[in-house]
Amino acid sequence: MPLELFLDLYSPPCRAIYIFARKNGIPFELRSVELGRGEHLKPEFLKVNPLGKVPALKDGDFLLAESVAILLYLSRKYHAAAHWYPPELQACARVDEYLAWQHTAVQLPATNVYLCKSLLPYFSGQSVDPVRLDRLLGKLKPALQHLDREVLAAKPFLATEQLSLADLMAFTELMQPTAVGCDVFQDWPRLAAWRARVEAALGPELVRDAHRLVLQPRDPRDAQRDPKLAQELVQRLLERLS
Amino acid sequence: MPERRSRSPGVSKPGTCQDLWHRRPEKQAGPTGVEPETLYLGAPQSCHSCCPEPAVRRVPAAATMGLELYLDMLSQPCRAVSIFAKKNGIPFKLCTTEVFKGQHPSKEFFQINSLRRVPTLKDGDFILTESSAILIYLSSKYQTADHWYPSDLRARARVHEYLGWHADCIRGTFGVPLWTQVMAPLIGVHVPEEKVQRNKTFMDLALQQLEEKFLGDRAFVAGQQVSLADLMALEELLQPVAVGCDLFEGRPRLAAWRERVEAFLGSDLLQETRGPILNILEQAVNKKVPTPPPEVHPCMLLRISRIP
Repeated sequence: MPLELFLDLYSPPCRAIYIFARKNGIPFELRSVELGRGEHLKPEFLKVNPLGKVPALKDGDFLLAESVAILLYLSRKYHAAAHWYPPELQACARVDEYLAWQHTAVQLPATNVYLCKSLLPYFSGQSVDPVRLDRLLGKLKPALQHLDREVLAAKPFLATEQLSLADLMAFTELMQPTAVGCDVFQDWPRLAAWRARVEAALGPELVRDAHRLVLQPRDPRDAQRDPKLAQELVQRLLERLS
Repeated sequence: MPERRSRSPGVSKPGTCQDLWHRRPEKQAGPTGVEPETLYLGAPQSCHSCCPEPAVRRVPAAATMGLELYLDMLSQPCRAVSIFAKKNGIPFKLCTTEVFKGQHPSKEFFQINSLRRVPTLKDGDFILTESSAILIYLSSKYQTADHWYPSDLRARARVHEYLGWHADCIRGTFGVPLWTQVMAPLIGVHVPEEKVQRNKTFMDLALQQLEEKFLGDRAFVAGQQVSLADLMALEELLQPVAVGCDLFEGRPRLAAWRERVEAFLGSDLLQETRGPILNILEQAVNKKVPTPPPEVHPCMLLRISRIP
């Protein structure tokens, strides 16, 4: 039984896993789970991940959720090059530190910017609320500042002197708002230079391929195919973004 | 414990005894201008034959330069780190950092940790934040028993699977009741009932997932033995319990898990670590919690504003 990866490439952690697996030549079958159609909540997928979230992994009889856990599992099982998750105690700790910090410091605010700029207008048919967007960008700013002014002032990558899982996760997260028109790199020169380094190291074609979906503009008319679902999602989004 | 050497009576005057037990080293400022803490490594003893004063063995902190842990015991991840280190006999210097009393040596702390976060680890020149990273670092460096952070590929993946979910669904959620009932009122802020109720809903959902997906019919949240995951989970769940939310009532599987983990860790260790948090509600009711100084208000207000 081949390795199965349950992914929606609209999701940054899914893209990180997709890029990692492709970059490291890990053979896998991509099982697409379209969040926009609620496929993550269907019984078939809940058997794979009862938490109802992507990414998820199925390796024979072994089921695994959570992007960091999946990346570490793949990295170790398929003997990825050491720079991804270094064996040295302190270097490894730096990667662990970033991967822990990023959940609330980066992933949460970056996702919220994306939801406000892209998903909410898509489901509501309304234009972007600039006041709300500004407020949400403000919540992402401390992380960007920390990465640009402190972390990248000391080294070329986020955790160590080389590309690691930390950079991969950060890259796909920060591409999320950027891909839909909120360029989070524009005020931060070191972060912009880091982005270019990461893209070059991963391979521009692979990065483009992984980001193909999120870079495509969404047509709000598609969302209105199921107006009831659209309205429900708008409610939930408004609650989350208030 | 070193042997007590016998001396002839009256051989030294008070304060001049050459025995290490009685030496009082000059207090020296550390590199940041802050007095280093001294470590007390033994019970006070008196040397009747030499010095009239009771002797307390003091060793300047610099002499034992090693692991420092900056912890605030009101903080769930700090307790997890403290419990882990003590349970595993890892020697460390405790730098108590009471964030809301503004009592931490702010200049020094800021220099080592620009984000002013607790817990923070300092091992020589190496500074590390994030409790899960610290726990993994300590387990690797001090080669603690395998069950804490199993070397088996799949078993370790389960620990990371828990830690990832914990970061999203437990952190930030289970700390809210302490904020709404104790911390916010201290600075005159009232958290709306709507938010309190929403938080209860989030906690209920998280507890359901914890019980069904992570615990299931296993003894512990990431497998059949205690691991870092159980420590992190338990101290978070204890936070609302400390302010009167009995999360374990009506959840026998979860209650049984808690008993198993606490039996493994030992009640003395837990009581010692949890003293401050278990007393906080009573202190608040009796108006004995010190008012946080103005300089910590902005970060407190920021935290309160993040309550969904």
